[in-house]
Amino acid sequence: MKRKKLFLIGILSLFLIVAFGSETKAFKLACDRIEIKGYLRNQQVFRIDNLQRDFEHIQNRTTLRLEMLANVADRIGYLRNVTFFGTLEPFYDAAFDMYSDNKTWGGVMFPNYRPDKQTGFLTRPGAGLHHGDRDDYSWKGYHNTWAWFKEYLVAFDIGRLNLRLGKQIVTWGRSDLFRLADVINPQDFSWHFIFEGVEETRIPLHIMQGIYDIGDVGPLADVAFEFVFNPGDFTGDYLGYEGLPWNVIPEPGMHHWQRQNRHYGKDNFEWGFRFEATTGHVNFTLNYFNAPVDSFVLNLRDMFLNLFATGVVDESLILREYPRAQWIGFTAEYDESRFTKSILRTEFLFIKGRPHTIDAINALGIRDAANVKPGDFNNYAAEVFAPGGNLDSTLDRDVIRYVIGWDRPTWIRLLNPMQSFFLTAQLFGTHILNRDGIRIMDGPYPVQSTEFVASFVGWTDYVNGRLRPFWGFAYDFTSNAGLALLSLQYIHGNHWIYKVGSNLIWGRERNLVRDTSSLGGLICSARHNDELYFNIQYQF
Amino acid sequence: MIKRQLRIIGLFFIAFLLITGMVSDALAADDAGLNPGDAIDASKLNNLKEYLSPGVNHMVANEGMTIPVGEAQTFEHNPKYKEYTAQYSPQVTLDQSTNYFQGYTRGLPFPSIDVNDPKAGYKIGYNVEYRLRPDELIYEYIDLVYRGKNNKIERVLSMKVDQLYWLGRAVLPDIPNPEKVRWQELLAFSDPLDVAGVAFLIKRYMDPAKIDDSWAYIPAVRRIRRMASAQRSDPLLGSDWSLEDMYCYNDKVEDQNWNFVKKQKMYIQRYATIDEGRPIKWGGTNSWCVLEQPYQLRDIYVVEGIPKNPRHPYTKRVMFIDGEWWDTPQADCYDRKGELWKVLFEYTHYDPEYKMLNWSFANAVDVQNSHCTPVLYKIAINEETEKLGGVQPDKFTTTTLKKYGYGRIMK
Repeated sequence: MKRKKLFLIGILSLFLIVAFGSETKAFKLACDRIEIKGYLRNQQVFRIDNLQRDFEHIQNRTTLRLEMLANVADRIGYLRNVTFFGTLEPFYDAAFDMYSDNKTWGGVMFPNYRPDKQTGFLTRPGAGLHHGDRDDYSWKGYHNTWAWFKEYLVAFDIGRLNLRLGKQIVTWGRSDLFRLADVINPQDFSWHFIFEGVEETRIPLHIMQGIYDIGDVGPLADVAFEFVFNPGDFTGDYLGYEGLPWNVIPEPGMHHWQRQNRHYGKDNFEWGFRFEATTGHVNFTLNYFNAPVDSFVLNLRDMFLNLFATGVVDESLILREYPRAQWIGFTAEYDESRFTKSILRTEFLFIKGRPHTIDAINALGIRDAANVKPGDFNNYAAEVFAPGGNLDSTLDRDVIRYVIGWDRPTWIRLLNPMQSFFLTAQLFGTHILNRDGIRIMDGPYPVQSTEFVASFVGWTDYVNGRLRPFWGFAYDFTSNAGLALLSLQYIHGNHWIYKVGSNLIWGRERNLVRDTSSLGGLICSARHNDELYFNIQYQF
Repeated sequence: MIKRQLRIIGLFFIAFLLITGMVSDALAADDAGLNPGDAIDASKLNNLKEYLSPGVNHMVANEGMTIPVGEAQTFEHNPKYKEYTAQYSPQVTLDQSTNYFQGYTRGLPFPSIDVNDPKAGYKIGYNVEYRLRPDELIYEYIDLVYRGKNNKIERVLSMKVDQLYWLGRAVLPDIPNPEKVRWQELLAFSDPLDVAGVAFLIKRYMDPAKIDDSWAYIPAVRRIRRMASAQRSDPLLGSDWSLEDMYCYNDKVEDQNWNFVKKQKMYIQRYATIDEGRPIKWGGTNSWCVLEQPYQLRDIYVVEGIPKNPRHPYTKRVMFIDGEWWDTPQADCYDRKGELWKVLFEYTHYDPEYKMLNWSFANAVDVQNSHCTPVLYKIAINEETEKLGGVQPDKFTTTTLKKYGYGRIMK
């Protein structure tokens, strides 16, 4: 604890020196070869559960972010423009310490597990946060303090090849709100579900990225070849576990598996490449990526074998696995300036062998996951697994995903005579090939054969770019669930940014394990959990 | 007697001095009747209104702008460019139906403008686009200063810009240009943090029918978005400038109709005199006006640019184009109601090494919303860029855009 405090004092001292040591600009060292920027941000989130008619303070998170960019050398042997980039991002969420240790939150898919207001305990004994968990979530980051070192990488050029080595984020794809080809880094939904931008939720991994600029080739311009290689640094998406405000795990007891550490191993290596070029007013990419999936599948084999032998359900025998799949894709953007004056973009992805879990809960027809009994599993096993006898609870299915997007700066002078509104609309589609009528899950979400999600996002600026209203709507046609992200941001000077916003989610019915979908599952699993947030940031 | 003769001589001498003084004054005064060292302020506006643009009239009348009259100056033009103009301009023609130019190689496309030519506006437009300017340039930094009423500095945004002219180069050797690119530009914001890493790549083609290719790197999503051309007329990160407003007009010639209005003598700011020892001085009611930068009475082509896009934020942009250098030191922009909205100023100085104009600083004043955005920068041109790493042609790629954005480039 003492070491932690000393470390924190050191970080805060560094922040004070950097933030106030220079006039307004980034802090510079070593003859301007090193530059440090960053921010200190506090975010308060209040949940408004419109079924429970409750109002909860679920987040009081203070984040310090320090970014360092160092121009190491203009040339070292064959290497040119050698730079180092790193970000340090410690945080502290006081909400975990502001309330008693018994206090916990219901979690978005477990509203009935809301703690009793008299006792403070969850209705299901044993679930929820314990003291050690609180400490993890309030101080240490996700799993250890090393997670505070969010990114660190060395970048350099060798001729036309640009290489980046280190813990980093690599983004592919052209979609907003939901990710299709952008699968290289997993996401952290544990601390604020999907309501933070992807920049806040992507989990950096140790990756080697290289981009070779080929130049112009025949009718193609700006041709580039990119490759990524991850030598085995793997973690799946972080999902909130029971007791956390954003718990989205549908099965009881699954919190055991969520306390994972990232692990390294030769079986986890990931690799891919991308070819990028421009022809006419179209720029396009062809992508290939081969990696373990970030959303887990459940291997129930050992659990069932034990169940048949002993009649006891042992949750610790349920294995969470991340089998490998292949993403083969195409993306394109087209500047249609003649008629619509807009940008049309698309992303098409064929996912070869995407693993799914056979949906045990839906197979049983049980709506309330809390009421699953061992006998139900016996019946389930008999129904689903007996014919083959292999007790395999996972299936690989090929999946097609695509998005068609439209971006257009549009003048609505009645509302803003000074600046256009940037409007962007998208239609996402998912088709599971050869589903064979089997109910299956993508991560924690039961999925349908064909799913559509639409989104509409827009913003504009007032007061010389200092006041920005933003809205984003997404609708999942499968679950009939919708999402509205509304915010208002004000920038005061070069340092202060204030933001107030609301995230609203609604759905047709409160069905916790049905009516979800692979993309829309992210929306409908949190239905009826609206929230209001305030954000203040000092940047330097 | 001698005394009387001395008195007469003295009187003659005094009369001579008076007469010669008056004559010299009369000779020194310009067409508007002003001498170097005079100043134009609101009290003189009635007599001199026609010698100033409407935007400057507004600034003098409402913002307390004072215009120092400087001595008329002329400088030698780059001989190579003059030679190219003489050699290649006869080949350049204007298509009568599309108003697109044809046959251009290098130099000034239309060195002589007949004011009675119905196509004079378009020819002036091409002269503006293909005027003599640096082949390669690096803005080491550009500070956009957001200035409100009462000299309140609201924000300062910093960026870095690299620009490369592929076609019509006057100083540096030619580079292979199979795509017939006119110029390319990389803009990358470095400060403050909320915009650091925002970067733009713009590619302008010589083909009149081919629209610009533009991309933006958005750090919040860590990806590159293609920009619709209409975004070029939006305020650049909330400033009073749009990408299109740079240099008073920085869009394609073909994106607007060019209506020649008149050629007249006007006071226009010319040959700025700033350096590290002489910083820009600001004054006027809200400190939006540049002080002590000389204005000269010059031959100015007044041209109206009418955007072809019916949804463009401006109904017209009136450009005041210097007939000697074909740059646009001032432009007045009118909103959809036809009212004056923005007044743009570009200040340039003469570069004796390259015998061309080089940019000094700029200012955009939003007269409707009482705001202005001065643009201050440090610039290196042509061979000077070498000490900053040079402007390599292969730098203008989306990969560089990602590099700039990823590391939130250093200021």
